[in-house]
Order: sequence, then structure tokens, then C-alpha cells
Amino acid sequence: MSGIAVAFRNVRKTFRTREATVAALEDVSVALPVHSFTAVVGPSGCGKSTLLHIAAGLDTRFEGGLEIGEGARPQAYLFQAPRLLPWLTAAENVALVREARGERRAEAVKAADGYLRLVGLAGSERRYPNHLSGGMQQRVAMARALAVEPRLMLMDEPFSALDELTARRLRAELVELCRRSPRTVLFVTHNVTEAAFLADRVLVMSARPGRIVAEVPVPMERPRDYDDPRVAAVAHEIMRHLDLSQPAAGGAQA
Amino acid sequence: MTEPTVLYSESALPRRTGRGASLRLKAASVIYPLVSVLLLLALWYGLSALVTPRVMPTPGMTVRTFLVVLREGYILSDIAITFARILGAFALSMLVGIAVGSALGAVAWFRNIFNLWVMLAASTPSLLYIVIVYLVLGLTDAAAIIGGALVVAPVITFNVWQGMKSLDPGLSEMARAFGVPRWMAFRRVLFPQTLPFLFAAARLGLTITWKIMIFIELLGRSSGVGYRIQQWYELFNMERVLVSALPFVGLMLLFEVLVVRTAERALFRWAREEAS
Repeated sequence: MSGIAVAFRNVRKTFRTREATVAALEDVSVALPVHSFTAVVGPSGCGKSTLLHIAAGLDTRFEGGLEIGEGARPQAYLFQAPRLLPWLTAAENVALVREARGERRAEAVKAADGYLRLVGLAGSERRYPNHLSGGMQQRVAMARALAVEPRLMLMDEPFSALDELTARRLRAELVELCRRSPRTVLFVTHNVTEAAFLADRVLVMSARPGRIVAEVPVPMERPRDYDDPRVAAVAHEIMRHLDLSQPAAGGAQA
Repeated sequence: MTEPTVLYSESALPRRTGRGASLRLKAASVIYPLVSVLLLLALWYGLSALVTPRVMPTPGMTVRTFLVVLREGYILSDIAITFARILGAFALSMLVGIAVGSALGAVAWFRNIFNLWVMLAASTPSLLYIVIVYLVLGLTDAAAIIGGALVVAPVITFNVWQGMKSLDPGLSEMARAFGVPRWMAFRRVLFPQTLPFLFAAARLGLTITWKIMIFIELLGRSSGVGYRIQQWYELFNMERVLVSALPFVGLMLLFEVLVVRTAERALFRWAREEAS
């Protein structure tokens, strides 16, 4: 194994709308080392989520190369919304992704209870998503992601719809979960402080067409303090790169 | 190592189980329906007094006639025949409605061509279907069932189509991201999303079918509740008209309360506000 979980090689992605062809990603080349935590920040519509889609294999219509190493499967996906099935209990939601991998339902549910305990949801296993708060629902989604024992975790602004207090708790738990069993993480966000707090390195993307304009390493030990001035300093540096990349508005080409 | 913290515990949820609350509940479940029925009976008596019991028989007279009719026996076979026709028409309309509605939702060219047909079918008067089917197939049970199905199918089609529109692409994407096999994704992610719409369609379909079937029987069958209503209507016998119709109304009401609502509660437990 090369030590690379996922590598994008000169990836270019265009969307065809009625009026024009819009370039979402332009010449993106980046490699994710195994067990690295990479955050991607950029303005909305810069193709951050497209990058995740491509890595997940949900989007196969792009130009360029994608290398998926041994350390990238199985994969898990965490979305901005929990995307739980409302007619299944918390445990059944988590169990579903294990059943999809061939496990029998009874065993899958039993395993699901364990993952729910891991994210602090012991006692809520038999409750329906509608009866859980937004933060608890996102915890269920986190348990579901962990339940496939992923080597690659793709996260698309998973904490941005939560209140700040809940988001902070979940971020701290994510760091702890990654410490206990290391995984490769690709984490998309527009929150620069969150990126600086979580990641080993932060990729800064420009507005359309999305390209990587800077790579900011975060050489800090964990656990970190969200209010640490060093985190704020990294966030500041990310912000500086974002500002530089701002003027590239529009980007539509006929 | 920090243990994950639990944000809420079950016991922290507010719960209203005082004596006042339970009394109010009792009032809602016993007294209100009772008042409702008593008011209805009072209205019936009042109407009967107003236009004389010869024109509008009192509830008491109606019940006495019902007991006589019950001994004569025809009413049970009337109800059985009508019920069978309703089930036939309902099943047929569900079959057509689900097939066409799904196709409209899923296949673009099908939608482009047949969208107009469904709108046309929905705005065609029920009477026209019934007359046409009777003219083509003769005054038969098959015609009655097909006629009923034609009236109801557009309604079910629209409901199923709406259900298809409301499918959440985010859930399908989640299933693909986690590698859920296609058949399993259909069974466990896609199909359950359409269930509330299928249920609403079935409920509405059943209501329309049983109302239209009486009419269909009246127009071209010589058996069933609709036929019996017509027979007594021609003899200007209000008492017998009521006695022919009301037991069937009661039966359908019972079906709605016992079967449909129970099924609804069991199927959509997850949607209720209170945890069960």
C-alpha cells in the first residue's frame, strides 16, 4: 500500500445548464494520505461537495483521474442533514447500512445499539428520528457512518445546521472517535475555525471554477481547544487565502 | 479520555398525566361523540315532526322497519353483493392507479404523452363512464366494476404521482453512498416513502368507490343496495329507502373506524408527535 487512500489527478468537472457550460472543478489534484484529516473550505458553489461526490463514487462523469487505495473502502458519508429514514428507529437506521453489507437484521440491530452508545445515545435506540432533537439526529447519522467501520469518512458540512453548542460537542467527539480508531477523513466546510480545529491540513478552494488555491497545514497536537489563539491564527490564515481568491466570480463560459 | 455526553434524557421530557388531564381525555373520547349522536337524532326527530312522519319517518319507525326487513332477509344479500362489487372496482382502480401513477412519476416520455389523458380522465363526468361502459359491455357485473374503477382510477393515479414527486433524492443518495444494493434500496428506502400517499389514495378511492357504486347499481343492475333504493324510491316508500341505505352507511363507517384507522395508526406510528 502506497499510504494514499484517495488521490484526485487533474480532476475537472463541468455542469451543463441550458444556457452555458459551468466549470465546477478545474484541475484539482490532491492526495489524501491514509489516516489523514483533510478539510476543504471555500465559498458556496465552489465545488466542495462535488469533490466528495466524486470520492464517494456517486459522481462518475468527470474528467481526470481518481485513484482509490485500499485504505479507502468501506466508506461512510455524513451529510449536512441527517438523512435518516423517519419510519425506522434510531437503531434500525444504523442497522440498515450493516444489513446492506450482508449482516442479518438481528445482529445488525445489536451492533447498532453499540454504535449509538458510542455517540452518547444509549436509551434512545428505539426512538424514531422525529422524536429526537436535531443534534441527536446528527449523532444517529454519525453512528450510522461509524457502523460500516469505514476507513474513509466523507463529511459534507455535517455540523453546520446545528446550534453552536451542539456543534462544538460533536466536533470534540469526532476528534476523539478518530483518535480511538484512526480513519481517513475528507471534511467539507465553510467554517474556517471548524476546519482549523479539526484538520491536519486545510485545502482552500476558489469560487467557480473551483480550484485549490492554497494548502494550509495545521501542525497542532490534539485534543485542541476551539478557542485556542493558535486555532484562531490558522483560521485567520485560511481566511486570507479565501479573500485573495474571491474576485474570481462568475466563471461561466459559453 | 472524555466520554461523550448525553444532551437529553427521556425523563427530562415534559409529561402531562395529572387527574385533570385524564378527565379531559375521558370527556373527549366519550362525551363528545355521545353529544354528537344525540344532536343528530334530535335533528332527525325535528325534521320528521316538521314534514310529518308520513314523509320523513322517525328514527323509532325506521328501526322497527329495519327489524322487519332483517327478518325478510334481502338486506344482507344486498349488502354482500354491493360490497363485492365495491371491492372489485376498488382493487382494479388501485392496480391501474398505481401502475399509471408510478409510470407518470418515473418515465419522462410517458408523462409527456399521457399527462393530458389523465387530466381528461379526471375531468370526465362519472355518469359518462358508467353509461359508456354499460353500453359497451351490457348491464353486467363486469360493467359495474369496470365503470366504478374508471371513475376512481384518475384520483388514485394523481395521488400516487404526487407521492412519486415527494420522494427525497437525499435519501436515495444516502443509500448509494453506503452501497445499499438496488433491490434493498427500493424495498427499504424508496417504497416506504410512497406508503403515506398510497394509503391516502386507497382511503379516498374506497370512499369514492362505495358512493359511486350505489349509483352504478341504480342505473343498470337488478341487485344490491343501489337497486333496492331505486325500487323503494319508485314506490315512494321513504321508510324502506332509509332502511335499505343506512345499514350500509353504518357498515362503511365501521370499516373506516375499525380497519382503516387501525391500519393507519400501525403504519404511521413513527410520524406521531409523542414517542410510543
